[in-house]
Amino acid sequence: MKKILASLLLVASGCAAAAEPVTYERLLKADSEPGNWLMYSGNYFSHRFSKLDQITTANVQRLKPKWMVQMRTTHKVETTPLVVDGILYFTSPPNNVIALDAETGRRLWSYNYKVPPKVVVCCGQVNRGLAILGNRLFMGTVDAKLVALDARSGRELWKTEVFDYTQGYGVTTAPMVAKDKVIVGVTGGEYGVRGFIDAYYISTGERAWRFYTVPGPGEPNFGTWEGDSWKTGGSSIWVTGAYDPELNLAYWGTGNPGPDWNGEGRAGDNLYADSLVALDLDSGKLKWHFQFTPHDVHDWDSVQVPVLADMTFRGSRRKLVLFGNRNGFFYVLDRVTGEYLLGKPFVKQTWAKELDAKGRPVRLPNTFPTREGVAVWPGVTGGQNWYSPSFSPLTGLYYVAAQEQGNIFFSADANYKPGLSFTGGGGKPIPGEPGFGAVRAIVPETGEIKWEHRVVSPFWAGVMATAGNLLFGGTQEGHFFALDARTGKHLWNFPTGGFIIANPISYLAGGKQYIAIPAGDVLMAFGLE
Amino acid sequence: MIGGYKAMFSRLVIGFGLAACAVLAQEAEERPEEKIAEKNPFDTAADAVLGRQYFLGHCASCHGSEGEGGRGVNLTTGRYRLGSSDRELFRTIRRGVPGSEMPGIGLSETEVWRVITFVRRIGAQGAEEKAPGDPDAGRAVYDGKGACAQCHWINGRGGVLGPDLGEIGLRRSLKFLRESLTDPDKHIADDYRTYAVATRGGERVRGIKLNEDDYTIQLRDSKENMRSFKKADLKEVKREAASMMPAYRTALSATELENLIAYLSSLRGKAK
Repeated sequence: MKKILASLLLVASGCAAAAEPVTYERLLKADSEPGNWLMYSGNYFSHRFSKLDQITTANVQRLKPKWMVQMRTTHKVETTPLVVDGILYFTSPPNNVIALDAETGRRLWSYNYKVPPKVVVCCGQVNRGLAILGNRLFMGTVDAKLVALDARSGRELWKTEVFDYTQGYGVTTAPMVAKDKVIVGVTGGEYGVRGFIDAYYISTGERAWRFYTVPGPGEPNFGTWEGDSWKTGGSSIWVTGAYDPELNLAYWGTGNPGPDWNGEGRAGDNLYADSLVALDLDSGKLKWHFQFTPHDVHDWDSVQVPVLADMTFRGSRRKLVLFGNRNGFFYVLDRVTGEYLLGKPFVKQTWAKELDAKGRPVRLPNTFPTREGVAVWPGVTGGQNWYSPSFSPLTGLYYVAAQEQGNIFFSADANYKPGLSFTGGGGKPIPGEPGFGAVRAIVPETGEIKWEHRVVSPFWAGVMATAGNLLFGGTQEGHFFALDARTGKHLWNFPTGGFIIANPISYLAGGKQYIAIPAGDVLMAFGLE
Repeated sequence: MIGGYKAMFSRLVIGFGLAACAVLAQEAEERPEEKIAEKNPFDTAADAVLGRQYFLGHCASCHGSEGEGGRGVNLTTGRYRLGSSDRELFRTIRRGVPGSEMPGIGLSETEVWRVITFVRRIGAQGAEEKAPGDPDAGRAVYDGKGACAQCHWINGRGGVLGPDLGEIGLRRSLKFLRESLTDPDKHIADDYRTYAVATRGGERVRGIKLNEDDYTIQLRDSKENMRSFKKADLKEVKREAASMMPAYRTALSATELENLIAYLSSLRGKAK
């Protein structure tokens, strides 16, 4: 009874604390309240790093499951929870939202979203998470809506249509909030959409601006698309970007041009597909762009989370963006100007001879998909995919959960019909080459791999470094594990029994550090014994 | 596209360890409900010629260049396990066969119809080879001298170390069956790879790999026991190129071999 009372009190105190709204000031200083996880990647620089240090390399052996929550879903769980003052908020796919006591896993409220029957989302009806500002939670939906909920009750405040979902548009990314705006992008690069990034006013849900990731007639770089191909150019958005408040720039990675594997009919570089775009937060105007894979025909979306870091690079202090790209190269750019500084493969790659002085790949012959198929590394799902990297300010290392595998890429006809698949080919396994996974720690200044930890299957889960010098990750076989972030030494693992296809977070509840990860259709929280 | 991709990604990935394959299978599965025509709208001779080109690019590496089968099902029989109507064939090609090695194929709608036109022609041409041997005599070899039932299963009877042969005649060509008997190392299904482990205690175990993760491996040993090992307790984990199955190149006479092939080819399960 005492125990129950105690936990009730904690819930109560958590609820009371949650009534403190999450102001923009708090989001700017997210690093100063490590007990909370206030946005998708933990902070605006997208470090996915926890300053909590109760769990360390010395005691991680005592890490045990503390609670589990079953989601009762058949969809893949890719969500990153948020934690605010003892309350954990997460999305259960497709678009339900649940609030829990972060210490006990007990439910406080839930919000059920009705998804229409004929939703079109390539790769599953998934959702990657929420954003919070004030007392409002924000979620994009697979039928391309943006929803604002009251964080205290789960009641709907407003719902805005981002685009007509029957044409292949959806939203799976966790929104970004900053100042008075909430920002999302659309999926649909496999259905001939014309991608965009939108900002909406937090108070009303009205649209503030739209940036098309495929320029229209009269706009700069329109000429990088042949004929009418821009109308179905894809370049969709799958994961949340990063934000530099000082520069007032939001950085978002963009997806593949459409159709994915057949470049006939869309001659040109196909900007701004497979790029990093830096947008002015107030106006949505493009400040600069960097395209990783011009005229992509391998489905190498550049939809990895951009990591911002202020560090000494070749002798001077620079504002950098670090990007482990699906095309197999790790990039360092100047985030003020977009200048290319470094590019180096972090997985096996057989398509580019090198990157030139401006970072543009020099392609090798016979690497484009053919009707018969051609073997290329990395494969369709790339050296990295949508799941998150991590950056530790303590070690100065960039961590990526890499996929080491190739594919046979083939092309096929592609005819556009609204809402139907528009991909023009695909990828097949290379017989006898099942591939493997490897966590790799990259030195940003040189692109060198300091250490690696190999696993039997290519990764589909992100990583998180902590101030306890730990790095957490998860495997296809369901092992949630911890490595020494300095050396890669394997220290701990727990067999969850569910495919891990999400990113870890860390938070405090009742004064104790927790690590949370979805595995299969269960959300799990771990703590010290 | 992302997977999950693109994640691809689901229990299939775990089953096969082939993320890309699973990605495609899943993608196909989650396509919007297409209005699939009941009758093939592209069934002219010209469509068959184009269909053959697509077939060579996407299907022949498993099904053989003339549909005679191999790693994939023999298509010359004109009978298909998941249904023989145009619409059923369309679905099978577009979505793949769950639980098998066949992924959904990323061809356009028109291309799939043309492949079906080509497949229909090879199925209707009477191209199916007739086994020269005597199936009844072959059955006696199977049960007797060959001792095949020690490891293989037919209609609820036999061993479980090797693949189920209940539909093998539908799935494999005569050439493939002959090769599998005389040179079993040539084609080994992914689910039947041979692994050998050596424990720190000195035990050596050889068997079929049932599962593996970073810390453990599970085998079915030659006596059909299911064994699970912690990798920390093993000195060695080795994937062998050789199949667990013995070669029958010299153990059976030429006639016995042909009779056995005829028996295996007659095993057709229950086609829809």
